[in-house]
Amino acid sequence: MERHKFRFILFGIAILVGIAAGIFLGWGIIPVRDVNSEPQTLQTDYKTDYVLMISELYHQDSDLDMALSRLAYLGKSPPMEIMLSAIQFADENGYAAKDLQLMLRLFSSIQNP
Amino acid sequence: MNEILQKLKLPTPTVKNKGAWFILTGLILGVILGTAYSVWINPVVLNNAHPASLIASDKDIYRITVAQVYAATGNFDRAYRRLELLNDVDPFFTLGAQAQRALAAGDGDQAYALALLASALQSRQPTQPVPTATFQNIPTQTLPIPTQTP
Repeated sequence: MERHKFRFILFGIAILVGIAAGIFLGWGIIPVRDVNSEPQTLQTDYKTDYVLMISELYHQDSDLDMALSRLAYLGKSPPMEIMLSAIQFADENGYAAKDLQLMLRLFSSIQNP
Repeated sequence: MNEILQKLKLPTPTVKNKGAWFILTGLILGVILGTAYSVWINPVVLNNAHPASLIASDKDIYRITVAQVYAATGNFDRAYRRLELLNDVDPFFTLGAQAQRALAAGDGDQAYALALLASALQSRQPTQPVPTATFQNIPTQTLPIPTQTP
């Protein structure tokens, strides 16, 4: 009876160790293979550059609906949130004043359509 | 029971071997459960992806946006650097192929922008600071100035 109990405990410990190894595999090793990412997972500087591209296009065509649909590429977050985050990053990282102005123009257009 | 087996000189069953299989079974079961949880149920969401790691369809959208900005602003250096982020093996070919697909889908504007960038890419490279050669002082032979002797 005692032996059975001991084996049962060992079996439980083995499962726990296996679960820990599996979680390490899933969270630690598999995500390192950085392929098939989605645009919302882009690094902040790339996201900001994409927002700048959208702002440059908006400066040319003044098509707010198109700009909003382009912003949707960067995820399900509200456009204002995406814009604010990008403007904040651009401001903190010394983007050119002209680029900041373009982003601010799109931001204010979204705010007051 | 064991005494009888010993008398018959038959090997007594050992618990050790069974235990080892139990542990292995438990480990495998655990790894399966842990991997399933961490990959499908509660996966890690990365927030530092590079444009080159995007799936092909998202790369296409990124490329179109770069091309449209180039068509609108004419800033080739910036477009080139943005295009470089996608790590395409042959950016000219990729742009051309995408332009053809856009044309086939009836999107002339996108096809035009992509073709324009492809054409610019083929004809010129981004401006880079030209390295200037630094010359060392070359020793020159100094001749004595002839003096007029009276």
